[in-house]
Amino acid sequence: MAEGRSKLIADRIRAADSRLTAGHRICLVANELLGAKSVSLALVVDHAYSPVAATDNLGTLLDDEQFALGNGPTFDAQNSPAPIIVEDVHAHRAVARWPIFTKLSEKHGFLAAFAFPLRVGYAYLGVMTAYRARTGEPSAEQYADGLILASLATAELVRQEAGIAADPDALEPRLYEQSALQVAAGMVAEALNISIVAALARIRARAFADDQPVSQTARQIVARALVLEN
Amino acid sequence: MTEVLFESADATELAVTFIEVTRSVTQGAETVEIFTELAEKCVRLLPVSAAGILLRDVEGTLQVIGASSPSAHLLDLFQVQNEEGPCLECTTTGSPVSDDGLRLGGGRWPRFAELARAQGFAAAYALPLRSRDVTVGALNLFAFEPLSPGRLVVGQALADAATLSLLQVDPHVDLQIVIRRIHLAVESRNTIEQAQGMIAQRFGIDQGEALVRLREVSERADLTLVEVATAVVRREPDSPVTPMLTNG
Repeated sequence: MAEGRSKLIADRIRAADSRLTAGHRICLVANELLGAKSVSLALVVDHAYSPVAATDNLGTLLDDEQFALGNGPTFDAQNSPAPIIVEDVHAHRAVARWPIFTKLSEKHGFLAAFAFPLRVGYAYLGVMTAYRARTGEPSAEQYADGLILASLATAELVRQEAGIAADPDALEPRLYEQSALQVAAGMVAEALNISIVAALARIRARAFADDQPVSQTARQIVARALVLEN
Repeated sequence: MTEVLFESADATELAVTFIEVTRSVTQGAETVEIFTELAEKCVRLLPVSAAGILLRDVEGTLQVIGASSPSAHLLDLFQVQNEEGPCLECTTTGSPVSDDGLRLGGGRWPRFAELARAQGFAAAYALPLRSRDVTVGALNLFAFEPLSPGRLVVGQALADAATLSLLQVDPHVDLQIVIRRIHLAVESRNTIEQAQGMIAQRFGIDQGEALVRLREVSERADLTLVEVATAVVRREPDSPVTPMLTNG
């Protein structure tokens, strides 16, 4: 849990192939740090799933299958409070809970899966899944890295929802550091009768338009000095 | 004349606190609730004007998990310590940090001291949440007058209660569990803040008052604060929480 870890991960993402989207780069770095065979990013808003990025076709295919069937750790992670760690897809519990997922693993050669919900508070945006070729739990460091990567991916998806052009150089690992942002999101959600996810996107878009840090826009909203309209 | 370092009344109160915390944990209370209660206990017991328990998340950010009467200004005072202040020093060194000269100006942490002075605080303390050589966070205290060493001993005991409730396991044996617990506590707190925002907007009140209302509902409905906050954010029509928080 070293403090520099978040910066190191962000630097690695920035250093990845510049032709790739931010989402794709996050998947590549996650693949390496989590010792995975394939990593995918899925956007899930109001139960609607769409693939965002993956290291390869396998990741997308495995997400597609789970959402088509409504069964699997990635599917369950879409509103899970904590990451869903399946250290052995053939373990009794996993087979009982996700029978078809186990069959998928036999067909595609993966033995473990870690599904990280992309969330902030009760705003759920999607899932990042690492599919591994061998059984085993993530180490504490890998678990921590997974959480950091999930946080970066969540910030990226909020930017996408806000309609802000992807800018991998503008990674914001501390996007949700300030409490004011969550309170502001609640206020905007209530005022405009929209979801917290949509409210976060609106605040993000407004901050971008005003060329301000998000935390500043959030404070203005909490102080009722700024009111977002429909 | 020697100061009595530890009154028997303190001992009783502390024993009760440890029992309450243990009971809360076994009943599945969330870290956010346990820490909020402990922060309020600090205010009553020590006494101090304000208290907060901060934890370091995986990104190294100090996150406020539980606080007494959290106004926006107080939260700023906690969060600025990601850059300078007693909590940053405490969680880095693992040692208690005191500053009872905030009113004097200057000092190690100018921005922090300025914010603290604006709220009339004379003294600030950070006591480590620590198990052996692992420091996971700090208990942050603010007072209008300096605390005696004896009161700080009581403060550290309360910090130790917080550490025990969070860790329960040896952090060397299962660091992943610690990481997971802190992460869940931070997300629970985020959920509560989102609900605070909705209630603040709905009733035209500030976030501190909104939190008071959420806690009242939590008592009345016999649900955890996080359950209440979740019901609010999800806009659950059938939840017992909903009629309690409808306007008009």
